[in-house]
Amino acid sequence: MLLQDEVTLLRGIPLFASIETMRLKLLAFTCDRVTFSAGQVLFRQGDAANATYVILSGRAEILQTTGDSPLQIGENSKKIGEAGPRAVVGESALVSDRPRSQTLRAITEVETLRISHDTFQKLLTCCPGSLEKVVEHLGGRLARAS
Amino acid sequence: MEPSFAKYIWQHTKAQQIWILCIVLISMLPYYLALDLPKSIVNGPIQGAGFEAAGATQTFMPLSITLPWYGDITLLPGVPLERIPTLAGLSLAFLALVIINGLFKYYINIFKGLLGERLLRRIRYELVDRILRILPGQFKHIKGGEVASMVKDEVEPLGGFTGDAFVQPALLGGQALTALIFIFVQDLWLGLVAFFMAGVQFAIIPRLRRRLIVLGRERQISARQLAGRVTEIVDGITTIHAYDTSNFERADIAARLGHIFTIRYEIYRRKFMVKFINNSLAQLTPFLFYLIGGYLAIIGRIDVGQLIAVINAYKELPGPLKELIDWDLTRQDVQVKYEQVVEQFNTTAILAPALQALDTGRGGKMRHPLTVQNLTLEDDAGGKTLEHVSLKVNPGETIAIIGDAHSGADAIAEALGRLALPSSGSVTAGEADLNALPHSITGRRISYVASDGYFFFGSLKDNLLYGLKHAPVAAQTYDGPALARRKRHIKEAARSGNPDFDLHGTWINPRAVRGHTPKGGLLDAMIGALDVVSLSDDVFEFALHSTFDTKAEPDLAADLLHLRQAFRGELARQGLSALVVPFQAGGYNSEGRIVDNLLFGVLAADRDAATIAAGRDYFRGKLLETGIYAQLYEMGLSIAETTLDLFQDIPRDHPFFERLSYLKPDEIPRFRTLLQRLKGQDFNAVSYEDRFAIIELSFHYVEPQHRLGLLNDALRTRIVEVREQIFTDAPPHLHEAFERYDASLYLTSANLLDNIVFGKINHRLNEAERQAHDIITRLMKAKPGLYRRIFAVGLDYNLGAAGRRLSTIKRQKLNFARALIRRSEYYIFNRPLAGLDEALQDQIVTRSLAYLRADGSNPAIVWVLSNQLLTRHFQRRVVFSERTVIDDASTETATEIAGNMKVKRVDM
Repeated sequence: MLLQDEVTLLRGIPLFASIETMRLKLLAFTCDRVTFSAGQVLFRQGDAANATYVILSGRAEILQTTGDSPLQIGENSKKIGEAGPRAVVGESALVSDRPRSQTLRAITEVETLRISHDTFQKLLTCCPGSLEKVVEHLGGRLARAS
Repeated sequence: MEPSFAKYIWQHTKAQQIWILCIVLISMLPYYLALDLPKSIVNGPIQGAGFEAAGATQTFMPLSITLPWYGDITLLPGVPLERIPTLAGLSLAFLALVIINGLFKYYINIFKGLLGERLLRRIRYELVDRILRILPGQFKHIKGGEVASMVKDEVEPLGGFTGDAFVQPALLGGQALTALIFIFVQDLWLGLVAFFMAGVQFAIIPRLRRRLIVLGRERQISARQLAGRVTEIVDGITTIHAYDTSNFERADIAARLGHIFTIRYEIYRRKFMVKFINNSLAQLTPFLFYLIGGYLAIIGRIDVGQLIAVINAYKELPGPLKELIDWDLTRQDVQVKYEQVVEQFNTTAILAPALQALDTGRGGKMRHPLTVQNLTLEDDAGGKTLEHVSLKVNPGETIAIIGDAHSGADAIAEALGRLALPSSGSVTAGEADLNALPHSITGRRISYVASDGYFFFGSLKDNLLYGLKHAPVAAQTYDGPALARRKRHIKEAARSGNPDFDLHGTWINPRAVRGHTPKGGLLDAMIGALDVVSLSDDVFEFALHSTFDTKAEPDLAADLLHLRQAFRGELARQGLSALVVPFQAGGYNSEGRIVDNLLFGVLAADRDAATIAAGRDYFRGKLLETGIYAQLYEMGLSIAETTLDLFQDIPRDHPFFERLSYLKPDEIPRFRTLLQRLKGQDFNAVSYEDRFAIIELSFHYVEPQHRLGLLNDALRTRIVEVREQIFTDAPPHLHEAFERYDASLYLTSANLLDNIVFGKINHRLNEAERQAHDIITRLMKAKPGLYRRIFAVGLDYNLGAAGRRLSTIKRQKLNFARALIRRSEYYIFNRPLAGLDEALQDQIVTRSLAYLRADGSNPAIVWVLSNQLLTRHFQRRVVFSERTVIDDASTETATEIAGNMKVKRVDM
């Protein structure tokens, strides 16, 4: 997938829809493409949140654990959903570094665009105007979640 | 050391000075003959004196000497020769004399040089020998750079003077005296005039030079201080950067240089003023001769012939006189230099040489207890660090010493490690005062470690084994030319008062190495010690990032090639083949940059700048020749456009620029103007430099990483084709500076890891690098033999100056390990692992206590601990507070007391 295609894909995602194309391109350019093989964990519940993933292809399952040791995926972890292409997972990591509330594990090979907390913050420092809506959007969601 | 340099020279080169003086005197004979001969040639055969009649002959080279009361003795009767043969004979004799003079000069110069160099070697050695014996406390006031400058630079001119020290004044003085006597003989008054003027020169010139000497001393000291400051800047560079004090340092250096400049300029001015006065005085004498001598001749007191002879004789006088005065100047100069150096090294706080005498024996074991009796220690400022402490450390005992920084715990360890001299009281080993014992006992039977050990420039291995190199235990065997060389070195060392310990002999006694086994050798001992301090994994890591001499160890290279295949197999087995995109002949590596694909190899490690420039020119030429430049140029333009677009209003110091591997933020404006200029321009009209500025942007392009869609299969194929052409057409000297990727060959210039991976790691796969790394480590550890070999490569890791290439933590670990590898009866550990976290400290304490006792030896261990909890590992616990012992009990009792206290507390 080329940079241009990624930009098109991001444009179709409501969270990023408000960002102007040039900035979106810069965001895509400064992000890493990370591929996870089936069974690999993208992030674990309880870990510090340091990145958001936009799934480009493949499917991943969202797990939630109840009990003492959320870091272990075991019998007490329950699948609560699935994420597929164009899904944005762990988006709260863009603005907050509170621990993950879910675990994400690849079902098939999953190709992602990894937007690290750092990258996003850096983007905010250089062009706050264009990201205002994204932050508002995220803020609203976080407020609803808590 | 001898305070007078002249005496020092005489003391060490007496016999040679006399010898060279004799040679110089003998050399005078052919010298004067050669001066005299031209006159005979001109007067005799050329002008024809004595050959007036045709066929007349002259006796050629008759040789006779006249003895008083005896008469003439004819040594050679001479040969009667005609005019032409006489000319030939005399000319040949002249030639022979010239050659003989040349040879004399050659011999004298070489001999003087030899004398000088030997003396220089002797002085330098003596200075360093003293440095090694001066008590460490003295060095707190001296900068290393200053000492180095003294030993290296300041004594350098002393050697040059040595050869002339006695010969020159004897010779020049003789010449000057002869000329003076001659003048006296001709006329008393004129003699007195000449003598008086020479006296004036000798009286005035040294006076004028007094200030010069003072200045010379100042120059020497300020230059030395400059050297000290420069070393300080290098040592403190991180602090300077951290606190932005570089300009303060600049100011300091500029001020010093200004001071040195002022001194040096004044020296020049005065030096040439002295020369001017000296020359004027020398010219004054002929003036007086003409005036007074002329007057005396006119009134008839002396005849004209006498006056001419006096004036001629005087011509011979200024030369030697001037040189003599110059010699005196040099003498004073070197004397000052010598004094300035020697006084720095003449201290009473110096060990007797016997305390450091070489002891090649293993030395007896130290079976006595270490006894501290009523000991008081003071620091530099005179404050007490320990007060009236008595303590006995029995052989085999393990003691934990507890106390905070000012409790005296550190001080007692320093006293036991012989680092601190008692102000009162004593530290004894059995009956003997610890500080009076030779180093060969205390430095081997006691191992002292604090957290701040010093590391020498060299490999990790050199530093780890450093504490074992006390004396050459086995001589290196030499034969053939090496033996002759070694013998010569020994002889020469003796002539300069240097020792002849063989640096290349075996300095490590296996019996003194803990963990040394006949089978495992030193390597196992090193691995053992490094395992205890958890440094083995780091060493292994160093190995992975190191290169080694494949010529010396071809089988290791072969093993690693096997590992390359095994790694590939393991990746396939785990379904992880995508982690690495291997280098394949004839294939484009999708994870590699374009330039990697064009070159397809690594540059040799020992390449030089000229070869690199030649290689670049060749490479660029090839790109133009093959025509691929056009595509790369287009690609470069496209990359430039996109990048400038993306980053157009991003501030130049923004961290996003870190992600740009091919463009620096400050190059952006340049490329912006370049792009505007080049837009729509035909490639052929673009200048060479501009072309490659753009083309080189394409070099860094990796399609999967940058995702600009600029590479297609046709271009990939073309790049591979060009690669082949570049390689096959390269001239041989460029081939040597380059190693091509070849799956069947080990890359000498690449590190172990790159050789095993032999491809590009696909960074887009999650944690690709760590996964690949883990697999490689597992594979290596599965083969113990190979693991040891690789470990040995890691041991060659260079620590840099003062071990700065290691982190503080690793330095502390290594510092501790180098004590563990020594077999001693006493181990004094003075918070050696202060920087480590508690869990790791606990592990290392436990492991090292076990390690030091593992081989059946039972050394005493005194450990100053930062962490109370660790006392449970020791038999005895001594608590320090307020510079003295407040509690001393076996740990069992100590635990009991602590337990009771706990119970009491509960009761309360």
